[in-house]
Amino acid sequence: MSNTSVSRFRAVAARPADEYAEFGSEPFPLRALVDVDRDELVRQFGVNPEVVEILRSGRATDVLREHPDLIPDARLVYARTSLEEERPVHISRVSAKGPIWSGTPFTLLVEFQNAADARVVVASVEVSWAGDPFVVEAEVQARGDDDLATIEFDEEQTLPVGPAEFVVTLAREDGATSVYRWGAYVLPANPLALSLGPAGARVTGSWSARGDYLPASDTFLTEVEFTISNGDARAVSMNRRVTWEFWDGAVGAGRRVESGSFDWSGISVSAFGVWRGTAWFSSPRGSGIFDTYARKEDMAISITMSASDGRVLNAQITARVMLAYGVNIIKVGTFSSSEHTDLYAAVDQMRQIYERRDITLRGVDRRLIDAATAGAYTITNSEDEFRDMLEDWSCRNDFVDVFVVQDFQWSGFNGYAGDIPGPASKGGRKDGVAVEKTGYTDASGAARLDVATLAQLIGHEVGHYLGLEHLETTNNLMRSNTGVRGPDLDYNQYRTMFPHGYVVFE
Amino acid sequence: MADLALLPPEHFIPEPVGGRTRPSRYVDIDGFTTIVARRKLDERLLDATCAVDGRPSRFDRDDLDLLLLATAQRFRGETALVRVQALHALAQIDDDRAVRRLFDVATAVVEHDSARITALEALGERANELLDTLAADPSEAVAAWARWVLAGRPVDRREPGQVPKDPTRGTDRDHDGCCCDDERG
Ligand SMILES: [Zn+2]
Repeated sequence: MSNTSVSRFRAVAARPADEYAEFGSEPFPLRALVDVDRDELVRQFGVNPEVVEILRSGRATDVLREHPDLIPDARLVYARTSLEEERPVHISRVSAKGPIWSGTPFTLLVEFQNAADARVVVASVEVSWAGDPFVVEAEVQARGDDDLATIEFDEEQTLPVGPAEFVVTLAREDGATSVYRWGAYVLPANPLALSLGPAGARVTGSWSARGDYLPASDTFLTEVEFTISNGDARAVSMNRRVTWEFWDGAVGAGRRVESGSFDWSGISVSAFGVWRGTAWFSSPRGSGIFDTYARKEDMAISITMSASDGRVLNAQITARVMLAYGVNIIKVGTFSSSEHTDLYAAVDQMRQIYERRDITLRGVDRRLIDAATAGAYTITNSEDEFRDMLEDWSCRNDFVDVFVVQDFQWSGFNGYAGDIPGPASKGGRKDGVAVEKTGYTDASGAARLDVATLAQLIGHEVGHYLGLEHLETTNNLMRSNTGVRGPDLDYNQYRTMFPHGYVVFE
Repeated sequence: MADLALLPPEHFIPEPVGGRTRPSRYVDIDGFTTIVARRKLDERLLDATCAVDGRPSRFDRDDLDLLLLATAQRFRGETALVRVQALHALAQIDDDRAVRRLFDVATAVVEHDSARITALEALGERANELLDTLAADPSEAVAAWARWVLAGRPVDRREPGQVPKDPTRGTDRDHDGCCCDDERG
């Protein structure tokens, strides 16, 4: 009789609780180019002082064409300063007044600059957390150039322990806006908590851990992420013993499939902080967990740990075998190295969106058609051209071909799918999807892609390929409006994708 | 292909403490007609933009002021998509201010390549006067675009072929738990 063992465990870097979003906006103040402090820019970023004068001269493009070596510095200064005619409103930083505790009202602080006479009148916050998203708005009492808006979350809007994301929008009376994404980990008020998540979980929401079958070793591997959060002003050290149980049915009510313990030393959770770690349970053929996964039955994992002062922590998560499909990510044309990184971060985020609906990626194949070879296909101009591209290029495997092009120049579209559902074979004019990359320049002057938008855009078009039509329910991934999509896929959509030829369940 | 006979039941979703919902709270902005109009504009810019059943909105001179504001929002990724869509929308408006904004974005070497290419495509034939200069642009992507337009926008159809592997060295962040993770098969 074989038994499950913990084959590996390790701590992973945890972000601070008050900057928890991995792809949160970068805090930086925006200054007018005409009166930005040149010496400070030089001191802070080491830029060539000439670039400030070049940008102010009104002949920047001509001069920079002559001196391309100055362009990176010029991009940085341009990204941190506004032109006279732009008069933007700009959120420079979002934070909370102190830690956010579970079940406790809290206040968000929104620091901003306003370069116009028109007043900023309303701050709007969209909150993503384990439950349904909601919106909190507040009037803004503006005073000067550098200003502060506060948004109160009252008793009815308190949050439970876990990650929360806040997308803050300021609206000025002339229609100008500024948007900022900020994340926090809501700390336990009681004040220590353990929670479990699936591998690499970084989007908000709760879902299942995944049992992965590894043919090479004929085992099922279950990766579980541990998060311990501490709402106290003192660091907490944990005892090393970790006890685990896998149950068929609810913990304590069904049948205990397997259980065990292992020693994990050196765990310390900082004051008002979060500790994260990952453990891999390896279940060989013949073990109870292997057999339960093989029968496609759900299990409940229960983990118990204790703090050195005796407090006992317990958390549970469902474990199941997920459906899986693969994607070929095909860059069409030039991508900078930071764009490349953002693209694959978006693919990883798309995987998490699907895992909330028990569908994972069984592979990501990285492909490239360089600009010279791609020619016309770097920009999608029409349906015909999209289909020509599908016909001319494909990847010989059973993954969905995802073409990421520089731009859609076709009636305002930003994505398309070859068919609903797309074919489970390659060749022809329907075997793939395409999206445009959504680029911007970050505060360091680097070319970047908007990860959150791209994750949903790719996920949406792949959803079509796997058989989904548009669905206009709140927060659904398949909404036709790019601005109101969310990460939700419902059970009917899961059922629709289930029989697609590229989807496997093993 | 997964057999529907094996379809698992709906998964168990634990109820968050305090329930799944929280009440939203809104400020009455009816008195601020321009803010209402801007929200409407952003919605139109992003509506029906998937080419599956898509019918993107049309824009006219009445939208110009707000479109100019939207295209000036170049400072955050969160508004990048609205900005790109607004650049496309400016192409539909026959007005000097729209054209000037598109020229400014298209020619600025400090702008993001794809914003520039979007603006250039939006300008259409009006960008022809720029092509010779842009063919030698410091941005590789913009220069390649200009040379391709100068060549008459050739579409080189080819024998169906396999997409090459991407040789780019990964600079990716930690792909823990991702499909690229070496723990998986
Ligand atoms: Zn669609």
